[in-house]
Amino acid sequence: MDEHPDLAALRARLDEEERAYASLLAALDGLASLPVPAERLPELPDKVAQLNRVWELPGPPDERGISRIVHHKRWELFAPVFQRQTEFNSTLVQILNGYLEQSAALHARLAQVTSTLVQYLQHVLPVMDARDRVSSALATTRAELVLEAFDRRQESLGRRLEGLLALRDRVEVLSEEMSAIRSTLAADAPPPAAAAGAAARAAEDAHYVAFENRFRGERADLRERLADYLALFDGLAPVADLGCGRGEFLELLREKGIASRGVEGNAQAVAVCRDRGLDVVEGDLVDFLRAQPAGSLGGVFAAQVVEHLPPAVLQAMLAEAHRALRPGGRVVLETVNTRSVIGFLEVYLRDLTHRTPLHPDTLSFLAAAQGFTEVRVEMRSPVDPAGQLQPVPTDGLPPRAAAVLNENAARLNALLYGPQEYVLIARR
Amino acid sequence: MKRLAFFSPIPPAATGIADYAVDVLSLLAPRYAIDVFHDEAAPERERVPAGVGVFRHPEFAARQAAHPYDLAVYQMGNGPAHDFVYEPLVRVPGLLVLHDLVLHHARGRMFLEAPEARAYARDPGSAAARAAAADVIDRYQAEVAHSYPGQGRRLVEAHLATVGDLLPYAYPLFRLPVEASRAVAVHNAFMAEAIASEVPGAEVVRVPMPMPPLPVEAAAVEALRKRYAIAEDDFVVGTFGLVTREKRVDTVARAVARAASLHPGVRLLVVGPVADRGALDARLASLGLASGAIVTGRVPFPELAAHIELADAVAHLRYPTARETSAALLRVLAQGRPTIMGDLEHLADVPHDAVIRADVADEEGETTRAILKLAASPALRARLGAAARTFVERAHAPALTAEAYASAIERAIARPRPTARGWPAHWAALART
Repeated sequence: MDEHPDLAALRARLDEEERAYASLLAALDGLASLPVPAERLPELPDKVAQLNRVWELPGPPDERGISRIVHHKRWELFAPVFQRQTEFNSTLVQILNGYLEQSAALHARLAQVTSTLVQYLQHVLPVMDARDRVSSALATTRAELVLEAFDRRQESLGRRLEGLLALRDRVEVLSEEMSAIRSTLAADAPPPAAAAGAAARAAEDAHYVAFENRFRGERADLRERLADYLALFDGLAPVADLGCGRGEFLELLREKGIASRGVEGNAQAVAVCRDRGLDVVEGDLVDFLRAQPAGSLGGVFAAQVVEHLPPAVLQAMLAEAHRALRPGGRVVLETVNTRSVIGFLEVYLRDLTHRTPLHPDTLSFLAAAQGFTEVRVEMRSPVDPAGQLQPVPTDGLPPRAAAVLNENAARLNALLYGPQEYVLIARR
Repeated sequence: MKRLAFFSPIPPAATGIADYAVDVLSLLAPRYAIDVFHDEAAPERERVPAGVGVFRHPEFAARQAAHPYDLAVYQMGNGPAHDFVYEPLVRVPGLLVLHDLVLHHARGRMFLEAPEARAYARDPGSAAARAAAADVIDRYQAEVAHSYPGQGRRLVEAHLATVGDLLPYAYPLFRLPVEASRAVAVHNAFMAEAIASEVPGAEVVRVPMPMPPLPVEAAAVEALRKRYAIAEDDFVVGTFGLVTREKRVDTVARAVARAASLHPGVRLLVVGPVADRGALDARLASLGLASGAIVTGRVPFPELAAHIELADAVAHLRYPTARETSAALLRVLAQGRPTIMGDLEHLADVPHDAVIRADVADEEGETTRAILKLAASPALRARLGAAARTFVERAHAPALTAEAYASAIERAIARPRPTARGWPAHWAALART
């Protein structure tokens, strides 16, 4: 993402100001290097010392004899002049000494001030930086307070919305049920069970077992795939297997010691099950559920069944499953993932008896609408990546182009080659 | 018997995942030959089930070369105890058990704690500091950009400069580890959906976190009541786990203080390691809880159940959250404690009749009201406790975990090795080694 133009302008301004600052600091550094007088006038100390030595005029002559008298008389004649000259010299040297001393002190002071000034200017940056960081931290803290409040509110609203949607679904279902009951009462129509029975009979094809053998896989393969679901029914006996087919899952349950019973509309499949000693009822799955006492089942399982049911029968099945399960019981429904193109084209359309393509959201909605809780969907049977669209090699392509192409390939893969099946898992 | 290489923190690592790993190992050990690879200087080998090999992680390469494992299982969380997992995860793709959806701050720290990156963060105006840190920051930026195309630089600069910690929660940065794995196991539906949504085609499986109830001795509880001077009519509100900002102990304390003004017997119990005890004490004192609050610090695991039993109610709040399934929450539910918890999306699996949910928009007020409600109704407490226990027994039975892990392991073994998809150069290079 490109930088905001205002921020780029601020960065440029900062660069400019920092250059000006560095230039001024360098200039000040240059001014701060004051030469001490001893460097500029190296002869000065000697001359001052000499001046301090020679300022006093010589005293009266220290001689003996006649020359002494002559010289003394002459000295006395000029003594007042010498005296004044000495006083003048003394005063002048004292002033000069004082001036030099003061000048040295001032020079030292000036050097100290300049040095402190340089240090001060050098310290401006850390101070500004520290202030800037505190400001940034305060701004971030304030932003995070706002963000937190917003985020909490969003999470809260999301949770409320979920509750409201579940409630709305429930109300819609109740409303439809009420309409159906009213219509039935008004028209003296046959009970819904008749429709359910008709739907289930769609699977009563003599060749269906052979069809399953071909397209759903061999018994051993199917057992292996279904074994994944066993853990979901731990401690939830008895389990009803709706549309149990050749009884692979019932066998697995039996081997794990979980009591179970199957219902199957296909007489040939029922015969296969019974040959294997499995407890299977031949008949309509909705009727079978209706016959179970309320709360008597721990689990309801149906693999590759719900897509064979017309919507009304499917809803009746879910309603009866909910009634027959005890609280905490579990329903597990495996079906074709019609959200995946390959799942729809290669799996769903292959079977003539498929009646209702079920999007995962639709099945979840129907389950929740019947009062199931903890409704979740897990994807199954992923497509081998080797059979999917392959990413383009990044060598020789601009990185952005390669990223876009690969991102598009990933999106297409998700749409075309998404998992071919899914399983809905929910609690009573 | 299939052979597994199991990369995980193990005790005494300062993370609950180390305890989790021990539990899972005991469930898998009868089915698989397992070698654990860890990063502990002094691992507590006695806590690892017999028959499981225990090795420092650098030993993996030689063992893998000599006798390749059928699958590597990686326990990944967002604490520093998991830093060592990243490298083998890329080299030898396996089953990634993702405990936290949000990995960003932990992964970012691995780059930003480098000395050169720290120097740059201290002096972001310095071109020399920027140049010295370029390599490490560029690698971090490449990882961020892979997950969030076009935003790498902006996010890294913001992360470098910010003193807050919410930003990484908005950009969880789990894509690369997921893409590099054959399959991913998670503990809740929220994480499963988030991963499936961001990484289409990822093989995501749910495994329940195992949580068997712990035995509690009445005498031990009584001894603790005496130790902490808990009176018969006190109403103790407990909070359990490592005390961090995310645990919102401050909010719980304010709720307790508000409730105590209406119900004087309400007391706060804080069980778990406290990083800054002085700050906590000062905060409790400012709320008038100095004399009534009980702060135990870390308690030995054998004493934990008795401490949980001290609580008449538990407050379990989390914000921000990495969307993890909390072992601390499941533990108190398994022990049948009536619990108030934040109403967070990833905890939707917890049945409505097993807890009191506090709307996160007003956690303090909702927690206060829930405390008062629970204090006034022993029947409600009993009902919640029983439902909580039933939920954990049903949904988090160790047998379920064992089955789910076995299924996830088989699915991961069956999946092909993932291929690099526009990965950052350093990541792709690791995958080639």
